[in-house]
Amino acid sequence: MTLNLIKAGALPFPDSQLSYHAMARLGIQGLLLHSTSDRFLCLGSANDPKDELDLEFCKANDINIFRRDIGGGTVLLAPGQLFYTIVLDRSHPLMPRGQYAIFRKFLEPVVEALSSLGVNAYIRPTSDIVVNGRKLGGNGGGEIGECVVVAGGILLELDIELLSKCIQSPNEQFRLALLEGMRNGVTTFSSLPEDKPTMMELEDTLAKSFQKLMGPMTEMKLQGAITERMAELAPHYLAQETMFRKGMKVNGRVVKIREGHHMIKRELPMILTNTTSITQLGVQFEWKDGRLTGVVFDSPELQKHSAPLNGLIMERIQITDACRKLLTGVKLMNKPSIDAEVELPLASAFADVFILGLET
Amino acid sequence: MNVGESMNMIKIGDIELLLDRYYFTQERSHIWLMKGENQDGLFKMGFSPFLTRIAGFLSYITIDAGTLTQGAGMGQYESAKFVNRFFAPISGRVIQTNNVVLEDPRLVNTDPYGAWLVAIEPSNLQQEIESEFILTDAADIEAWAQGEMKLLEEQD
Repeated sequence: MTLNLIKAGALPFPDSQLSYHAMARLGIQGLLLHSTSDRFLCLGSANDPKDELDLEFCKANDINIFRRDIGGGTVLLAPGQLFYTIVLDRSHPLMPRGQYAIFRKFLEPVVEALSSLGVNAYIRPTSDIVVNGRKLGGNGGGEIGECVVVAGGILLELDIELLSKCIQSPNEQFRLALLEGMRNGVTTFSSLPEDKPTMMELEDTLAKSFQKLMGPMTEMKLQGAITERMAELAPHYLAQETMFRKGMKVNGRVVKIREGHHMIKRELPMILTNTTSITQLGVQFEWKDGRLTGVVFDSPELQKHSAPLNGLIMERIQITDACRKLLTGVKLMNKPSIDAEVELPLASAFADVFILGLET
Repeated sequence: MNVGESMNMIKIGDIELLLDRYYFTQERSHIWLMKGENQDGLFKMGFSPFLTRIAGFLSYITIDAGTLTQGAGMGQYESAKFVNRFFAPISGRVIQTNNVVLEDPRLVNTDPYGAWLVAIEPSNLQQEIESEFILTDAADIEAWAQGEMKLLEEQD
């Protein structure tokens, strides 16, 4: 059976998201390409807006929120980005088993399309599209109804400053560090030396590339049964209880700047803070190929002793052991050193932070 | 592929499958089902190590059905930017959810057999336990597990 190709143009909020939710529920399989005429924040299924966003700032700046049914993190969707969404039945012969294989398979056409536009992109697992080590696009996926959905976007432009203001930060210092991290970790077509394609050129190139993998598609419009279902779904997705339902429990603030680069601020367990004077651990770290490649602690004292962590495999036992070495002799405030009896649990709490990054 | 079996466990590669419980396999499920230790007729369910081998670290689990129908969706879990649905192994009523695991889904990765998700009061157990998708016999569990491992190895 031929799959469908929908080039929907610039969709307003929230049609941009309702469209593929409706397609999946109706079992309409194929590729949806679109952009958006509005700017809004799109949260993954597990992300709680109360934990993730500066809601006052979003409200004051008329930035809407949509919580999708598929995975991935919080993204700012706005004009200047092109979105591709693959909707296929779970049992479709093209659909592999497990998300790692799914992302590998369906992001390859994106890499190929970018390559044909002269951009040397690659997939950074799990699901980032990367150019020169910086993220040009992100992806998420999931099962909706009987279909698997893979959704992603390519950044022609992105207002990084605005995004940094929308994301909840414990303080301005954190936000500025986040902004700097994003500036270093994210790129857009506008900042690449290659010619920026028009939205239509990029759309056509992606459509061709996906059809090499998925076979020739039949063009259809976003109308009829799909738009009817979108209207039916809208009240549910725009309801406060959907938007603000309880999300993934996060201890502290975890912000993924891109795959392999995290900023984390985390309260340490009370039992430890009672005895060590450390109440909060703030750290930025990067890893590549499963190894820690860079660690920057907020605390200069911790930073001074952070060498044992560099180059380590992201594995709990090794990291805990290195954190114990790091903590031995670290002087914080009036404490001469970390108490021996809390050294292991504190090291373990530190290790948790790194492992949490790996899992996020 | 290394296959081992002891009185209470089958080992396929690095995956250990305990034989004190049943396995539900419909729709690519990797769910275990076990009669609770109390004499209350409740069954506990959780995810087998096959699931975490495929999905990696779990970050979020939701249970959205209180009344279950065998084979119908009952919740979702998220790992590595992907939300998967999972399906009820038997029909019945959810009597209890394990909030410790729902708050910290990584427990499924570290202790898959201890990290039960819900306790179910079955409504049609006698009939449903005969389903081809519920494996109760060691030989059937082993054959299924070998097939699953082969698929995983092909994919890796």
